[in-house]
Amino acid sequence: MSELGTFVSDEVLEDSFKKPGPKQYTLWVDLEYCVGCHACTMACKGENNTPVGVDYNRVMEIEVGEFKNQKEKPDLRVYFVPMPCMH
Amino acid sequence: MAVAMKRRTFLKVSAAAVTAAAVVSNFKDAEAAEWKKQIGKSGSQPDPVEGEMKIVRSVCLMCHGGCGIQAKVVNGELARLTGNPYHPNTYDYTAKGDIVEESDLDAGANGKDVGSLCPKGQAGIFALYSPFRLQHPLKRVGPRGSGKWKTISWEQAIKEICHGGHLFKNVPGEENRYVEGVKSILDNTKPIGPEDSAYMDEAPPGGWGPKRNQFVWAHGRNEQSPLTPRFVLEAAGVPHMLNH
Amino acid sequence: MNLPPYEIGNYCDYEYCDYLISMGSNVTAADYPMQTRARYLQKFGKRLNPDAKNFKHVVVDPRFTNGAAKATHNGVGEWVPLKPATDAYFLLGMIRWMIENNGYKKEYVTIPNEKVAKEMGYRNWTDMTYLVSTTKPRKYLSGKDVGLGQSDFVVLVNGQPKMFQEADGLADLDTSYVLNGVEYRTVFRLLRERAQEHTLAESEAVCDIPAGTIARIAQEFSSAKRPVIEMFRGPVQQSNGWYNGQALCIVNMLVDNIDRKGGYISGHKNYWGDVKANGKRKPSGIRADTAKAVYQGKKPTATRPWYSGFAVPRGVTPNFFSSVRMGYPYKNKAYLNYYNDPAYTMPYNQETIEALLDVKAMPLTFSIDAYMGETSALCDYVLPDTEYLERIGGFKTYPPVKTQVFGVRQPVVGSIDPKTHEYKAIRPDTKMGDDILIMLAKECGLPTFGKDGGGPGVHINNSWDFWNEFYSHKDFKGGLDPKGSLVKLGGKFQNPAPKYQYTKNYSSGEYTSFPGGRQVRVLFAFLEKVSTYKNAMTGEYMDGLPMYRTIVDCKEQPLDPAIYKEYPMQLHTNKEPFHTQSRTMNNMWLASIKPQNYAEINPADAERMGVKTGDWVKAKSPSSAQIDTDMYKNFRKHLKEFYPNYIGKGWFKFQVRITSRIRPGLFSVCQSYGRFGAGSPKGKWHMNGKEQPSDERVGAGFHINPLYMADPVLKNMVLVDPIGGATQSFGTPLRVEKI
Repeated sequence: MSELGTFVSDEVLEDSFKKPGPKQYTLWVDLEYCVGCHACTMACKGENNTPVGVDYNRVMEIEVGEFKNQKEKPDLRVYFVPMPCMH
Repeated sequence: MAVAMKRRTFLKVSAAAVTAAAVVSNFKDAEAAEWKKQIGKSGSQPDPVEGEMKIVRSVCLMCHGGCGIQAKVVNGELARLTGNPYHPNTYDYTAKGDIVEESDLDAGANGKDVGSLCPKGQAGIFALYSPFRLQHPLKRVGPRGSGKWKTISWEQAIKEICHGGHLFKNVPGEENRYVEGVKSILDNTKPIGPEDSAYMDEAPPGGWGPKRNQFVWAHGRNEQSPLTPRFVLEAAGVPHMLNH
Repeated sequence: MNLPPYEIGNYCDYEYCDYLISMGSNVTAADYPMQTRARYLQKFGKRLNPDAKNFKHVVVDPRFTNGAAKATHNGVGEWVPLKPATDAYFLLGMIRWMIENNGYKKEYVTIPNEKVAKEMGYRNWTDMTYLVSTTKPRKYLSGKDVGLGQSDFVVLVNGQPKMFQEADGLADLDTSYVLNGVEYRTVFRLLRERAQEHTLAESEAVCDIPAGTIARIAQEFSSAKRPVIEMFRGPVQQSNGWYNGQALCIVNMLVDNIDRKGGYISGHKNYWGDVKANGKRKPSGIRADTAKAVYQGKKPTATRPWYSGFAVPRGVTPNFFSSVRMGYPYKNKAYLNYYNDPAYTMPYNQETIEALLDVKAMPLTFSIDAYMGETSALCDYVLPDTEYLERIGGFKTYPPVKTQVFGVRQPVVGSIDPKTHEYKAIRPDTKMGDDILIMLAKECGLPTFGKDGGGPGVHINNSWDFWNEFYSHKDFKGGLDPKGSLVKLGGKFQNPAPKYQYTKNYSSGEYTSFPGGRQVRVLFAFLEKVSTYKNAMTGEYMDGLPMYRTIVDCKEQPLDPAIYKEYPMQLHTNKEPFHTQSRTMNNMWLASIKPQNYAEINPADAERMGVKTGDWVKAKSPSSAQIDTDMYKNFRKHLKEFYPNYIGKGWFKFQVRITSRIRPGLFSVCQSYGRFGAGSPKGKWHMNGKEQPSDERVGAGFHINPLYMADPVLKNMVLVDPIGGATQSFGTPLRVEKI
């Protein structure tokens, strides 16, 4: 999974915006910075004033691999994926 | 999307019953059912549409980290909490040089310098307008833990706590219980003796200390230092300022 | 809560370290300030750091924390799923490997004094070369003892004793000296001998981790450019917490990273003001929690534990709540609960609740609280506080911010009377906690408040008066002037630029600008203040160096091994980044992120028990059946309301969630759920006969505090570190069965 460790450089990022055609908004979330804290969920809530129990933004937690034997070195991954509603 | 989820609904529903959108808001007691309806079906914070906007910078206390917060206040109602960009906890401005004046950063409501704030900090709005918050001084009218309370005035509360008396004579089982008030406890400089301790043989040579030590304070999060230690150690004059 | 030994350091400088071990430190999800630390680690440490490419983050924790998720994200970092309460074995194991394999900075640890340190370009030095007696109570050999003169410490230089301050160069490190038939050894030798009491294989067996882990981590750690091992509550909130923390500080000392750029730091400095206290009283006598004092009673040993002022600067509240019903050390007359919720938050809280319900033990109880919290609900009076957004005050911050900071807290809503400066809150009949305290002080005629309370002409009649005065002195001027930069910026802040964070004045490398305490300092690995303190329960002296121990009781005895057989699992708690202990489930924005908690268990345990996510299990601890006895007869009246998951005979039922994020053998429950106050219908209350607002969602989930194991000697208090006063927050032996 080493490819997950490579950061996307600013140049690559800039390039991705240079696509021809009509202007389109892009939401870029740097997952390396995401620690699964749900601040984005609350920011969305504050901006949109949604009722309690209704959150437009969610953060998914994905568990990859299994760890069952403590006598072996664990190989477990957990990823946090913010899921904005894209409005 | 259901109509109920729309923005701006909260104000309409709640203005009459809960928050008047004036500079000095006036909370009224909300019926439990009413509140339940409001927080369940409409927005969950005040949402003043227009009016005077101001920025107030303060310190968070959703946890003990001391982050700076920047509050957007519209018409006297708190509309949004973000990080205070002047506070190093919430913004990295190392490249911007020394910050002395407000104008050194673009920190206004729509400024480019935006402070970050964690989920707890941003949810502080709900804490402020929470339906669960207390509104009046309360005295129990049933046994401890019975959940039966009545509202009393501040004058009565302070007087009873400080001066004591037969405070719970209407509570079954406590008709004759005399409660010593805080004033007489704290003014008592006589040493603690066998009448107050069955463990005199464990006391140090200097004794347990004055009887006023029988007043105990315990705090959870105390961020009001140095006022709070002043109250406990220098005003009340007791050695224990217990924490969580 | 006390962090040992606090003055050495307690945080990591994430910006420039390249090998970070987080031990029981839920970095990116907990600690202060959570988002700042997350940002410093992810942005500065792992990306902008010149050594970012070599950055390795090792997370030593029974749970795969969010920090562990980030650490292993790039395939470099690592998770070491340590068994709870075995931290000392891991840390002393590391010390052993480092000493035996030259994995420490030899020159640095042989510096005997400030003069030599300065000459060699260091700002601090250690006590590793100082001689300590081998007979109890262990003490440093002094200049007087050897007949050399006035000196607290003696070192050997080429085998000859010298007063430490007179050594001109490096001192002897691993050596001993005999005086009048008593042997004195250097701290380094004592430490080596202590570390060698167990082999690495033995330690790894206790820690229940793969063989070879400790040596590998210690090797990587000691060969890194800027290594640091940090802790938070994990290692120290335990009955062996003091020694765990001390061992962790020593691991850092051995690689010379204390106060270093990218090292182990105690960080920032706050600005401070002043308010004179006119006619102040002086507290005296013994505290109600018998902390910060030495036991000197006529009886050879005490009825309840006592705690040293050196090791527990902040007191031991569980000891108060567990002693108050027996009137120890003396009877209580009044209790003020300030912004506090021990009935909910105290481990083994059945005792706290029982005490609060007892009008004889606690005749007058009143609470300053913004909510009908679990504790307030058991008091006589509740005085409604404002929220923190309606207060005046101020607060410092924590590392990793390393510059000078003080934030000003001011009301964001409500109004301040321009003449009297009285604050009017949005709920007009609530008052700032400060104002309530001032009202109480004035009614009782206490000094330092009211007319001339802050000195002649300085009247302190409300919160504004106090803070305006505070912000007019020392580091501040101008008070709470709304046009001043203090109020406008929300505090006084030094730019956190590297030039202010670090100093380059030392040839051995950069240091942080603001270390804790004194700038130039000696760091003690051996703690004489601990080794000369007697455990009041046994009359025995304590040990000045970290010990290989897991869970111990108040007499420093390990638990009966039979307990572990009957209760083979372990209770463990964790915390989400969107929760605090008692201020977040009643905040329904936060409550809705994860509407309930579960007992989280490993798939291996799930298979063994035959359960899947959503199934119910029951759990009991060695002491939870005490709930059914007369010890808790008042609490029992409320048991069904507060803990609907109690099913009798010490058993509580829980819904499980299966996840590999928890190591096998653990029963991990997120704190902050299962509220029975502050808006939970389990703590239903009536005001003037009318039921008050509550919502089921506030009370959702499970609360585990009654499951914490009580001390087997004391019976009514959670296991508490006899030295550091911290509670045994992890590792209560637990029996779990499928329902």
